[in-house]
Amino acid sequence: MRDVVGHYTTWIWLLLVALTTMSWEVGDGGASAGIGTSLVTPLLLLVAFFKVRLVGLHFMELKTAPLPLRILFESWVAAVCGLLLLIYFQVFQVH
Amino acid sequence: MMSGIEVTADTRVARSRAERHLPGEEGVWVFIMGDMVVFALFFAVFVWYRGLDPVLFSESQATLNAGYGLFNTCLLLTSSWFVVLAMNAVRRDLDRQAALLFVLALLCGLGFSLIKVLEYSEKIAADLTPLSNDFYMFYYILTGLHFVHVIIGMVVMLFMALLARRGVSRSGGLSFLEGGASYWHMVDLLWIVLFPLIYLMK
Repeated sequence: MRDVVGHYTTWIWLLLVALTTMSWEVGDGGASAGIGTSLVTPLLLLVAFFKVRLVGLHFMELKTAPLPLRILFESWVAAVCGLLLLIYFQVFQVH
Repeated sequence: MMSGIEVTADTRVARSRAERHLPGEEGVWVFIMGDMVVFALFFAVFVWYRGLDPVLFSESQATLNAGYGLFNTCLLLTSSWFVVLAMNAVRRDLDRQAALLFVLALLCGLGFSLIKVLEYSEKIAADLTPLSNDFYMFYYILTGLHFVHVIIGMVVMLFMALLARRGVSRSGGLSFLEGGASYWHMVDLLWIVLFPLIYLMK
């Protein structure tokens, strides 16, 4: 069992849980006071998509998957994160 | 000289291709990427509508319990990690350990479901339904669609535990296990985005 648990992905899991807890502190707790409200959402989104990439590369094993699939996944992460940020900053809306 | 170099280069390319491995059947990955595109559209539409009425969305979001969201995110992350460990065990022919880890992953999914049901029933008791406003319509559709994925994933985990116990990975079942594992990670991955969008964003 030690062989199985002593894998580097255990550190990835700890990092994911830590980032999740920090996001919750920033989004729901008082930790956002020092950051400024306008930066909270972009920060939360960037952290979320960083976590998504960790899950994809290390848990879904896309790090060692055929390159086209890895590129497709990385493109999804970049495109969706970018799109959500653009919509959030109302780039597409006519004032 | 020239041909010697070419052979070496070809061998290197061939080796790096062989080392790259698709976890699961191709069809599973077509489904996974398709599902991710559909959810991406839902995310975008949600953020768009939020921009049209930020006050309503903020006020409605404040009625949610972000603690449930945090706990459920950690449950799915842990569940995913158990599946990673289970696949490690499968590849080392540790059948019983693999089966146990798949059951632990399933139990995390069950915990997620219980909290989701508790959360829905609290909201419905407070008269907050899909018809209340746009935020709650999105809340029920997005988390509901994701919840369906969790329920399917728990059935898949049960099958995987049974297969691992029988040592199926050695008789060609490895690809099925890899596909199921990839699907379960996708369910985790989609929730990682839903958690800040629904519970946290300002």
